[in-house]
Amino acid sequence: MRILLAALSITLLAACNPAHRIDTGGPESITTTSQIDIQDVQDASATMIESLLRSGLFQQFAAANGRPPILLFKDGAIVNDTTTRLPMPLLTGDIKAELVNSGVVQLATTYVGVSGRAQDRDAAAHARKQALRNQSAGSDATPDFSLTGTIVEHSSRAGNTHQLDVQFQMTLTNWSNSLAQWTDTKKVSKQGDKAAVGL
Amino acid sequence: MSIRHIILPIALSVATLLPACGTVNTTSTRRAPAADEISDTQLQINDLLTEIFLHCRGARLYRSEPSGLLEAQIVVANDGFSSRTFGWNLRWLDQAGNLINSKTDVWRATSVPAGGTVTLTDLAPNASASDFTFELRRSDNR
Repeated sequence: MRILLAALSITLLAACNPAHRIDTGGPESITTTSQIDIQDVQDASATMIESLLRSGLFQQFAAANGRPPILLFKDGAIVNDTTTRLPMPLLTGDIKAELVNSGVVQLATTYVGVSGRAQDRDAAAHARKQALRNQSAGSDATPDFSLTGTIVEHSSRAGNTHQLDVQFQMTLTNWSNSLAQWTDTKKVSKQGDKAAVGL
Repeated sequence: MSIRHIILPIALSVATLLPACGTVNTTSTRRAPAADEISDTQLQINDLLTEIFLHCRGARLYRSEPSGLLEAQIVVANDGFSSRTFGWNLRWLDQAGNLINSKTDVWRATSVPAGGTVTLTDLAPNASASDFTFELRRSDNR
């Protein structure tokens, strides 16, 4: 009896999956059809970064003006019209990091805009103080471009099979003429009857 | 520019898949390299498993305009009788062979129908990129 219990315990232990760390968005991530997964977000942000760079807009601006453009990209500029409660920095963080750290754009963090709140309020207050001291009119770096976007989804079902289609859309507006100069979409479709580990 | 190593360790595997409802007949008219293709390339294709339904039909490296950045294009063909889903990741290296850290270095899932091909493209994150490595992994689920 003891041997049987020991064998059963070993079998149960071997069958369970203890918590462990995985590569974020990697092949070991969980894929669901009920919500947006981290792989979907990473795929979308990588696609948007590549599309923005491929357009050459920022590089052309830098060549014409002798400096990288100032980009306004607030987390709230992406409207999430899906059932997934998605923390927006998961999407915007990678795009900001790639564009800013590679020197392609400068990020406007002190621009106040219609929301009345700058991203970096301390830096914005310092800029205002400096402007008052220098008697200059402008206290914040006015953006040259702004990025906005939407995330929408559509779900469908056939028997037990559930399908989720998600679209990420982003638009770049040029502030010198108030026109959209770039826009792109990334669609992700997932199908299955239950969540699973893997791509 | 010298392109010394383009390594394509394509790891392909047969998945136990549901039978496909249909296959795709693929025809291509291209016979010669494209005009913008970078000629000084050396491909190393790990094709140990290419006889198992999926294989790399072609790899190209060219300069994307107007950005001027390098872009890789890889065509993967499915010779099997069922649709395949696989993950792929393309990493860019600089001239010294060092990895260029980029947020575009992510695993992406792609499907290719039976008898069909899929063209994968990836843009270099900056001008220092000169080579790339490409990894492919079958889906555990399909």
